[in-house]
Amino acid sequence: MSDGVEVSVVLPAYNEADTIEETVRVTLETLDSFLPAGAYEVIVAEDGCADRTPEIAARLAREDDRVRHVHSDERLGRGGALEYAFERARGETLVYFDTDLATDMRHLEELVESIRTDGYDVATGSRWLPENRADRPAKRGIPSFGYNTLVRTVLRSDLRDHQCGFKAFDRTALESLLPAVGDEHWFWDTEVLVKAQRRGYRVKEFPVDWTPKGDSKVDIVRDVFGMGSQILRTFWELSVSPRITRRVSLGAGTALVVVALLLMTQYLDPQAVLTRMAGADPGIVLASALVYAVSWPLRGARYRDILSSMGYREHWGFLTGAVFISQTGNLVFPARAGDAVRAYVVKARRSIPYPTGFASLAVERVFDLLTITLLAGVVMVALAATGSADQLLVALTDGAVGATRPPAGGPLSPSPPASASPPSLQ
Amino acid sequence: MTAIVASARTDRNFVRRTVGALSDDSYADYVAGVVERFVGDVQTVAADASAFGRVGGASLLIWSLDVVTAIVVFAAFGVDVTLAVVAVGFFAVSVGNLAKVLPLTPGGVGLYEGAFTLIMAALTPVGVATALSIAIVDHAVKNVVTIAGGVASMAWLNVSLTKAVEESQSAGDVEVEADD
Repeated sequence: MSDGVEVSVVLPAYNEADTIEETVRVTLETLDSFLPAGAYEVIVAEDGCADRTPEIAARLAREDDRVRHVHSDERLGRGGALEYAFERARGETLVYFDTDLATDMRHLEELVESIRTDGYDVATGSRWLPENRADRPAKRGIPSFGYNTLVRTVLRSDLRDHQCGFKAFDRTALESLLPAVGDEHWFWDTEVLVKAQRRGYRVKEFPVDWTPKGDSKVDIVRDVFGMGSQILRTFWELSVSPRITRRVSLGAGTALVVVALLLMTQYLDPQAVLTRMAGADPGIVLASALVYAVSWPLRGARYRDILSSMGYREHWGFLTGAVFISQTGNLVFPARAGDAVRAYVVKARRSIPYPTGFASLAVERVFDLLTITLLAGVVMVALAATGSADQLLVALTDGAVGATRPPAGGPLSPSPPASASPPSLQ
Repeated sequence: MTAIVASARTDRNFVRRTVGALSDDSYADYVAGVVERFVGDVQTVAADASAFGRVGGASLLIWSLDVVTAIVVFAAFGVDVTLAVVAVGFFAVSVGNLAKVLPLTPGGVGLYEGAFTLIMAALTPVGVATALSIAIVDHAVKNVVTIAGGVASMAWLNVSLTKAVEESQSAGDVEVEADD
C-alpha cells in the first residue's frame, strides 16, 4: 500500500459476521467512485467479537491491500474501538460509519469532501434537519428527538442529531479533541460533537437519507444509566465545575439553610424554640453526651477490625483518635474533606499507605450507609405494618409542619413543658 | 442494598450477571465496573465471616447509640419515652443521618435538623417547635462531643488539621478516582 493515503474509513464491527463482507465491498466501491486509487483505506475495527467477524476481516485484509484489520481481544466499547482504529489509520481525513449501512452511501462523498476539500474540522450526517426525509416510526423518533433536545439544551449544542453513525474528522482537530473526551462508549459521538463546538472547530451537519435497520429496542442500562449519566457528567464538566469552588458550594449550602431558617419564622416562633431549649434538663442533656461518647471507642475498635482484615494491626485507642480528628475535619470542612484527613493521620503516624487508608474508609462508609439504611428501613416497615406510615403520609400532605399543634392527649403525648411538671422519665 | 451484601458474601460475578441480564451492551460492563468497585470494598471485610460479623455488629451498635443519644435528649425535653417514640426516634435519626450524606453544609448542619424535625413533627404529637428544639440540641451534643474529642486527639497525636487537609488533598487527588 502506498503512503499516499488521504482518507481512512473505519468500520466499527461487533459480531457482524453476516454483513461485514458486503459492507466492505460497498464501501470500497463507493470510495473508488470519487477518490483516486491508493488515496483511501478501509479499516475493519473489530471490537472483541465472539463470532466469525475476526476471521472474515483478516481474510478481507489479506485479499485486498486497501483493507486493513484492527483487532482487539478486549471489548473497548464504541468510542474506544474508534479511537483505537483512528490511532492506527494513515489518512488525514478520518471517517467512520455504522456497518449496517443505514445511511445512504451516496452521502459518503459529501462527508469525505467536507473535510478533505471544504476545510471543515468535523462533519456529521443528520436525520433531524428540516429538509431531510428520514421518516421513521415514532418508537424510534420520539426517544431520539428527546435525547437530541436534551443535548441541545443541557449541553448547549447547535446540532440536531448527535448520534448519527456517519461522521468524519480532520486528523489534527480530532487528535487535539480526544484527550478531552471521557466516554468510550455510545456517548463518544455526542461528546466529540459538543466539545468540538465548544472549542470553536468548524462543524458541518448535513441531511442524510436514513433507513432504519434491525430492531432498536430501548436498552435501559445503555439509554438511561449510560447515556443519562454521561450527559450529567459532561454538563458538570462544562457548565458546573468551572464555576464552583469549595467556597461556592459551602456558601450556597449555608445560604440555603439560612433561607430555610428565615422561612421557618413565618410559621414557627423562634422564641418558642429558644424557650423550649432553655427548658431542657441540663443533667439529662449531659447524660446524652456521655451515651454518645461511648460510641467513639466503638468506632475506633471497628476501624481496627477493618484495618486488620487488610493486614494492619493498630491499637483501638490510636484509631479512635484518628476517627475523632477526621470527623472533626468533616464538621469544619465541606464535602467530607475530613475523610481524607484520616488517611493522612494513619499514614503520617503509623505508615499505613494511602491506598489502604482510602480503601478502609470506603469500607467503613459502606457499612455506615448499610446500617443506617437498615435501621431506617426496618422501622419504616414496622411503621407500615402498624399503619403509622399512613399517619406520616397524612401528616405530610396536611402540612402538619406548618402548624404547631398544642400538646394534647393521645398515646404519644408529651408532658407539659419541663418547668411546669417534672419529666416523666426521672 | 441487600443485593450488594448478598453478592459481597457470594461472588462478584453476580453483579456482572445481573447487569448483563438487563443489557448486553458495552455500557453494561461500565455500570458493572462501578458497582464492582463498591462491592469489592465491602468484600475485603466480607470475605472473612468473623470480621464481617464484628464490623457489622459494631456498626449496628454505633448507630444505635446515636439513636439512644437522641432518645435521652427527648427525655431531657420531658417527652414520654414510649415504644412508639423510640421507633420514630430510630427512623428520624437514621433519615437525618442519611440527609447528611449530601455534602452541602459543614457537618450536615441544617440538613440533619430539617429531616429530623419533619419526621418527628409528623409522627409524634410533640409539635414542630419541640421537634426542632430536640433536633438542634441532639445534633449540637453530638458535634460538641466530636469536636472535643477531635481537639484532644489532635493535641495527643500532634496533628494539625489544616496541614492534614493540605497533605491529604494532594494524595487524595490520586485516590479519588478509585473512590467515587
